[in-house]
Amino acid sequence: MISPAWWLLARREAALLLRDAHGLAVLFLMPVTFVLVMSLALQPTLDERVGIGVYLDDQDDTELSGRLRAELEDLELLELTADEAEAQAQAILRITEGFEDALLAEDLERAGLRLEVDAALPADSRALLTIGVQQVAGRLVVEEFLIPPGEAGDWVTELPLQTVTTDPEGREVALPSAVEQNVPAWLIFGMFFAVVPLSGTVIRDRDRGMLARFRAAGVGAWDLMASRFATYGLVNLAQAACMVAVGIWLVPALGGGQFTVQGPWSALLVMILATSVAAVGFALLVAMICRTQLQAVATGGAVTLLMAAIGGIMVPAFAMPPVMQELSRLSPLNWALDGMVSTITGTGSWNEVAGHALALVTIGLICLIVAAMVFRRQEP
Amino acid sequence: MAGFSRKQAHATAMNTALELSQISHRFPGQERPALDSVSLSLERGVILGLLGPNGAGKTTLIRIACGLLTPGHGQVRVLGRAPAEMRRHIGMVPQGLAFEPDFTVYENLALFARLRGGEASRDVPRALEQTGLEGLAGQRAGRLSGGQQRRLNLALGLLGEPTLLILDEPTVGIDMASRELMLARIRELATAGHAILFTSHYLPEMSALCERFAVLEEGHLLSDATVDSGPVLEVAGKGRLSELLDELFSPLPGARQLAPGHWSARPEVEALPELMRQLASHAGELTRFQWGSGNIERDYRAHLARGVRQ
Repeated sequence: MISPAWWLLARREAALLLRDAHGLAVLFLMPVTFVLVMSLALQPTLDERVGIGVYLDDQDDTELSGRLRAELEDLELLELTADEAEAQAQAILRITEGFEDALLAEDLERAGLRLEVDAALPADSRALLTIGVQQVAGRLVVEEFLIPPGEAGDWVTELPLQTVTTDPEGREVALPSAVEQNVPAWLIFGMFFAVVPLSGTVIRDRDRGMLARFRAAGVGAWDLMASRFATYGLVNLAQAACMVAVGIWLVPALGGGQFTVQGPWSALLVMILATSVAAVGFALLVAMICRTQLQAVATGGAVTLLMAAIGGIMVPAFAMPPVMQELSRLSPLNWALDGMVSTITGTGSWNEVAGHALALVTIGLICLIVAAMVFRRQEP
Repeated sequence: MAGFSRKQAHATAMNTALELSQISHRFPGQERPALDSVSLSLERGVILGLLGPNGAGKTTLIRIACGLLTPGHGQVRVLGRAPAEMRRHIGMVPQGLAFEPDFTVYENLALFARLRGGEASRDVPRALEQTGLEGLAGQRAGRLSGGQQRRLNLALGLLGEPTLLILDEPTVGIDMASRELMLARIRELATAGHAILFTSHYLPEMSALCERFAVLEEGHLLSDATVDSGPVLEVAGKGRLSELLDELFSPLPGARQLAPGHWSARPEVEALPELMRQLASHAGELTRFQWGSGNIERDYRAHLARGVRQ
């Protein structure tokens, strides 16, 4: 069914792509740029919180105000800074003069604490900061004035609280950091965007008479399909290597997080290969059903963008409302992202990876078979 | 005797490069067939011009001849076998510039030489030489002049020395010098024994190149005629002579009625004296008398005007 001609055609396809600066930009530069921009932009949202920067202005400077400072430093929610001018400070907590005297005199009205919050601080962070400061100050008052000496430990023991993140089915999942989310997300997007250069070649061949010449030379439909599968499969692997390198070296160098793979690399490779089958199958189908290059770019680009938006490439699916999360499961890009992120964060099992990979390969092969049927019916 | 017949049949098949028998084809959704009972044969060493207005079925016929399209009805034979089995013996030069503009001339030729199962080191220099592109092998195809690009298009069709060469308007949009060069090369190929099917809308070019021509219109073959195989006598008359011409010309070789009372034929030399005597006796009714070589342009117009089917 496939003749040795596929190898010659694959080399030709690769040579064409290497001479196509625009195609290379779409396949490599675009996803790299997205990885960088989105990893850095989403860092405050997705990465482990570093705490709200608070400058403590201790105007009282007493033992009690010192204890309050020590208690606040233990609070993970805050990042106390020493210098008011420091850019990190998003709020200022002022302990007004006479704070200790007012507490000792049990004059709570006069024991002034003033929290000045940056207007740009999100409302939920503002609320968390207020609650956190009130909790610490309240405990200080309880320990200092309401508990008999020697019994503090019994009175303030906190209830154990375990916090976990779960998916809509209630399964425990680890949220990816910005770089862990964006490296696979934009890699998948870039892989599916192969539809642009690939459909361009296919349609140009048809329009120019190259296809007729290939057919007249005895080249079969499956030779052409196989050559494109091989070439773009390698391109997808090169894209993966490039994105991972960006995540490991470039994003941290620019102040973002470090890309690490907690799960097995082999599982990630399986996901990349399966995604490649789906992406190239999709690209070939678009190329076969579209009559012009403009149609192919518009259709392929629009469908990829839509599947990416639904599939959690731009906004992570876990941050979507429940209805959208359900909808996201319709997108093959979401299957790919789910499989890769669970491998990267080390929370996925081989079964989970196999399920996602199988779904991707199946959709890719369906696209390929339909594309081949359309191709065989087309007149060169 | 039987062995001799088989040998003879084989020799005939090998001499007939292309044989189309009762070819009909209708595309899905189309009411009118693209080709309707077309029969045609092309021998080695002959250049056959395929003429017809746009939409006449020329491209469909070419696709069928190349094995790119399987006809709905009829039989195609290339050197006695199905086109799919004889792909290496078929060279096709499509109307469009079917090569990679970002590849060099050599890269383009080498790719197709290998795809056809040949060796680039042997086939490419020969194709370059045949089309006068030897000095341009390293040049990017997209940077060649229009005429050079047409020659590259031709060179790609010549790879592997195909017996049957199908040229679909190979000289579109090129200058006179390149056209002359290409036509000269095509003549040389025919002389070397290649069978050439040639389409063009440029009738003087057809006239200068082809020994035979076939006219297609609306999927029907109007004519498959030979020109230049001998002098043509063209006569028109009125009145009594008009009726006499029908009697005199219809039995002659190559007789064609161009219009009522207007005939052309290729009479044998021996038949000329009697013919001249008859015409001389009605000299007063003679409106046209021309004795000369064949002219595709004139014949083509006459065929289209008459719309006579084969």
